[in-house]
Amino acid sequence: MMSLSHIFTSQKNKMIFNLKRRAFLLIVFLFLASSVVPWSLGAFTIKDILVMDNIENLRHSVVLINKNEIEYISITDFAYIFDGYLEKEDLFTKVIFKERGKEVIFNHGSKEVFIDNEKIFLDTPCQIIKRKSYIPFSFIRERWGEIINISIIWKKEQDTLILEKKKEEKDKKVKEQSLKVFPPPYPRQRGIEKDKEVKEQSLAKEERKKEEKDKEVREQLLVKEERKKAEKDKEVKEQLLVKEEKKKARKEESLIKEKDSQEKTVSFLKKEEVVFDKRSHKRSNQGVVDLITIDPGHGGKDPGAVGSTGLKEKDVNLEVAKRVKELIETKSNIKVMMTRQLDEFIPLRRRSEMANAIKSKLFISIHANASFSEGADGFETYYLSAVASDNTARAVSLLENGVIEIENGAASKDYGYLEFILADMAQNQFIEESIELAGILQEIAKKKLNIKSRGIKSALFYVLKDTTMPAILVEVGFVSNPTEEQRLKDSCFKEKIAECISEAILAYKDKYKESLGFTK
Amino acid sequence: MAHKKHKTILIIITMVIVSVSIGFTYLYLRHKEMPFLDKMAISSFFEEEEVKVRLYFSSFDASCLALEERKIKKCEDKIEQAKLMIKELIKGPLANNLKPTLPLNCQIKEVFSHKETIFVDFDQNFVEEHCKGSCGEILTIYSIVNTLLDNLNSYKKVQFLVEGKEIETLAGHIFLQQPLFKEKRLIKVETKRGK
Repeated sequence: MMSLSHIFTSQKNKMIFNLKRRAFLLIVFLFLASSVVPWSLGAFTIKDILVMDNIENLRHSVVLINKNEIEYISITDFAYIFDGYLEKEDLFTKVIFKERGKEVIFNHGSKEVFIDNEKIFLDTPCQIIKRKSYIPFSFIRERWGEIINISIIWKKEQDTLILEKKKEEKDKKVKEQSLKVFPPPYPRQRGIEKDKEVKEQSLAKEERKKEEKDKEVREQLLVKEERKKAEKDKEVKEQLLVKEEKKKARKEESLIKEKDSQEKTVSFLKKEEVVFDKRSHKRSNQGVVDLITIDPGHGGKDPGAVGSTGLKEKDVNLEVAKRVKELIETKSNIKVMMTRQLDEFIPLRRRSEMANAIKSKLFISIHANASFSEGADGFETYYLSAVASDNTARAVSLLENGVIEIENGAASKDYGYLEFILADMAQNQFIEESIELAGILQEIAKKKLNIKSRGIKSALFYVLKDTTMPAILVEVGFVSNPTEEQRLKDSCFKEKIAECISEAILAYKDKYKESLGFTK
Repeated sequence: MAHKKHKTILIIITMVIVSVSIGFTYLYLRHKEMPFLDKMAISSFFEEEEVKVRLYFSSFDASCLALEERKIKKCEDKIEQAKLMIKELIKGPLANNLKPTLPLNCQIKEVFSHKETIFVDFDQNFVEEHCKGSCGEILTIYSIVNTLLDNLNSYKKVQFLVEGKEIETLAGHIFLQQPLFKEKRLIKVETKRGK
């Protein structure tokens, strides 16, 4: 009996043990399964990728979705990267690329894609995830480039998509840019010789030919006219000829300078040189103020603010700027370069590039103000905010920790981004000087102009952020305020403003001269 | 009997563990995968709750931003709430000594968020109907940035879009191709008006 009962209990124990083991295994299995199930039910991961354009240096950040090991990008982002317009329907999404003349239709849940009514098939069907439509990323990576004739490179390790125009287009673009980056010639102001040094030689030659032709025509006409007038005109022409000779001599001298600045323009296109160039620039910038850039805001298709009686900001800006130039060039030996002499549109980015290219020592942007409040009035001066962005803060911390080694060119992968940050910091180096200049100007304006002083302020100004020199932006008065609009129409008032600005520049120059040798 | 009891208890325990673990993993993944979609807008059908928001408008001389508190409809979804706040900004201030910062005709097209950034997409009128001065531009931009970030604590930056695209600048002055932070220096202290 004893043995029987013993056997019975041991069997019972065994059974319980077996049951326990089975239950344990079941739990483990179910637990593992439960963690896998949601994934297979349509969960996905996301990551940010960077899209860079090698020529225009555009940067977008878009989101990639990884579902079942296949990467998807939303149609919205796709349209956004390639400048397309979206037309959404229930069953399909149409993306229209106006500039490229393409029309792409994606069908939801299908592999079919119509490109200009031509059917092609995707590797995987389009998807709707969280009420947004997504297309497989492989389509952009592998096939889209051929369709719109650009090369698309996917750098997996850096999560970066690089768009490059194909060679022919690229060359054209480079040529265009090298022309555009350079300060434009000033054909209508022949008397101003100093600016001509900046001109490209070929353009200068053409100019001279034109001038000679003009003279011939004029001489023929003069024969018919009275002799006295002719004699006078000849004298003038002789003077002009003498001036031209001088000009030639100066041009020879400035050839070396010109080469330097040409190299500079090229360096805007070759990203790898940018950093080093900016450093050398900083060094060369230490010296007496002898060349400054005046930037009349807006122009051409962009009128800026418009007053109630129709006064356009662009006209006020240009007139004030021209007077400042005249005043400075008569009062001192400082050369003044203007970003525009005519009523033409110049992109903001190019304005600072111009000033950087000629190694200008100061940058003054002239604007007229406006607000939604008619009561707003006064004169104010801006400089760039000291902490421009979180990018800057991050880059500074990276630099301080030695993560980015610029000297070795190790950071060359990320140039678009870095260039931006360094440009940001480049202006930050001059912020003290910028504040000083703004302070001097505001003080003078307060005394001289019978107008409210709004003080000096800072903000993240596009036109100031890339300049590698002390830079300020002047708001001479409110076009939106009816009384101030009337005053801004008055040329005497504009003359006074110009006097204030030129005096401030000269005062800054003197102050800078005094401190030379100690602080710099 | 004893076997059956053990069995049922074990089965119940495993069921509980499995369902709890499935639930947790699902919630965890759902939360992780798309934080920018947040929760669905659950507006209460029974009564409209109100919430007090802090709106920033231009002072009369356009030298700074001034606060105006106002009660608006409460939304559970933060993005919907952000949209309503911008609509209030477009309406303009109630106080006589304050001035609007946005063109009356402009419309908000979409608001969405990604991580700590709120994206605000306006229509073309936002640019075209703007007064185009530096002062006006700064106040427009920061009235929106400060209003959104002041009322919604979980976000830190605001990125502007027009017709779904990034813009270089609104009126030719301020750089808008990157998200902007709150700018406290522009805010004038005091003045509490509104409803």
